Amino acid sequence: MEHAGGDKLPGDPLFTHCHRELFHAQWKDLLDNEFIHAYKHGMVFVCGDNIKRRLFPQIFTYSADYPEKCVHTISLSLPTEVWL
Amino acid sequence: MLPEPPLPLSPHDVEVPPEVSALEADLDSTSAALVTGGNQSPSLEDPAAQSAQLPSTQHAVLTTSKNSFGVFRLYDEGSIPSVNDPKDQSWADPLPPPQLEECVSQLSPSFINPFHPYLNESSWQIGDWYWNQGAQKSKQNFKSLVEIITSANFQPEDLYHTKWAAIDCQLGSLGAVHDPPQTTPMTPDFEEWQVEDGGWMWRTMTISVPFPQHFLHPGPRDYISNFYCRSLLSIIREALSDPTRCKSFRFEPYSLRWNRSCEVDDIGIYGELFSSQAFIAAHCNLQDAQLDPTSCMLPQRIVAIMFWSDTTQLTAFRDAKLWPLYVYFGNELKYQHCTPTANLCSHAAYFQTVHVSFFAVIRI
Repeated sequence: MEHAGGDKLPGDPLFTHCHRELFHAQWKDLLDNEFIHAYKHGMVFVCGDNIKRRLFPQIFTYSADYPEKCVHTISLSLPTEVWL
Repeated sequence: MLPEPPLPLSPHDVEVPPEVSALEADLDSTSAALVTGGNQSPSLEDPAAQSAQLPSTQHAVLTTSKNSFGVFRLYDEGSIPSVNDPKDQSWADPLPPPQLEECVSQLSPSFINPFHPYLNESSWQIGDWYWNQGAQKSKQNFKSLVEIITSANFQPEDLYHTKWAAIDCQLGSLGAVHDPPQTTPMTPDFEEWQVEDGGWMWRTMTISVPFPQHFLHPGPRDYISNFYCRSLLSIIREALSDPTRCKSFRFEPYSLRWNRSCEVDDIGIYGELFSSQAFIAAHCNLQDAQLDPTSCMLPQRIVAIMFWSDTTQLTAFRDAKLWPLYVYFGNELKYQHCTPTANLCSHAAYFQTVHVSFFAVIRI
C-alpha cells in the first residue's frame, strides 16, 4: 500500500474492489424493494391533474463523463431486468 | 452555454399548435386519418417500415394532419393525450411562457408601479447599479453611476424616503418564489438542507474489505460509510403531485414524422425522449400487458427516469468534492430540462467513495 498517502490508488485491486462494493451497495439502496416493486407492478398514484394512473418508473438513460462511465460499466452488475 | 431551442415554425403555428388543434378537430369530426394497426403493422425485415409506425401490431394509429412544414404525429389510438392535456408546443415554442409577471402580480395585486419594489425610477436606477453591475466596482461602473445621477430624469429627492433594506428583503422573497423548496430540495440554504421531512435519508453502508495476508491485520474488516439519498419514488410523487408540472408531463408517446410531399416516404424526426422508439416500445408493451382482462384498468403509463451524475469540485484550493446523482424525467421537454428556473432537476443521492485514510491507518 505504498500509494496509500495519495488521493487515488490506480490499479490497486483491493481499492478497486472496495470502490465497486461501496458503489454497488449505494445503488442497491437506491433501487430498493419499493422501487423494484413499482418497476414490475406499477405504482398507483393520483397525479396533479386528478387522474389516477398506474405509473411504471423505467430507467432510460444514465449520463456520466468518461471516468465515471468506466466506473459504472465495470462495476454495475445489477439484475438485467432492472436495466433497459 | 445552454443549447438554443429551434426557431418557432411560423407565427400561425405558434399561436395555435396545428397538431393539437388538428388532432382535437379530428377527434370530433369524421376527417380523422385513422389507420388501423392491422394493415400498417411494421415489418421487422424492413427497418424503414419499422421506424415509420408505432412498434405494435395491436394498436390502431391515429395520424394527425400535417402542418405547413409537413410535420405530423402518430399516436397510439388507445392512449391519446387527454383533452385537458397541455397546449403542447413541444416543437412550436419549446420554452414555457415566462411566469415572472404572474408571480409578481400574485405578490402585489395592486401592482401598477413598473419599478416595484422600488418606489420610482431614480431609486430603481441606483438599486440596479448596486446589484446588477458587478460586486467589484470598476471605473466603468463609476462612469455609469455618474451618468445616472447626472441624467435629466434623475431626481435626488426621490431617494430621500427609499427604504433600501426593506426593498432588498422584498427582492429576496421574490427570488424565493421562483425557487420553491419543494422542487429544489437541496438548496444552498442551510436551513433547507436540514429539513427533516424533505425525504432525505441518512443510510449506513457497510462493506466487507478482505485485507490480504501481508497486511498487519489480515482478514475481513468492515468499512462503514454514510449515504445521503432520497427515495426515487418520492421524487416521482413530488414531481407529479404538482399540478403545473403534471400538466407538462407527457405520458402518451407519439412518433414525430416529416413528409415533404406525397411522392416520398415520410422520415422520422429525432426529438424528445417521449417520442423515441425506446419510449414508444415500452409504452406499447405496457398497453399490451393491460389487454389481459384481469389486469388493472387504470391508465398505465411510463415514467422515464434519466440519471445523471458528475463529481463536482466544491472549492478552488481544497479537495472537497461531491458526487451527486441527478434525476430528470424524459416525459418532460428537453428544452425545459435546460432551463434552470424550471427546477426540473432533482438530486437523488450523494455517492460516497472509499477514503484512502482507511487503508493508510492499517497498512503494513
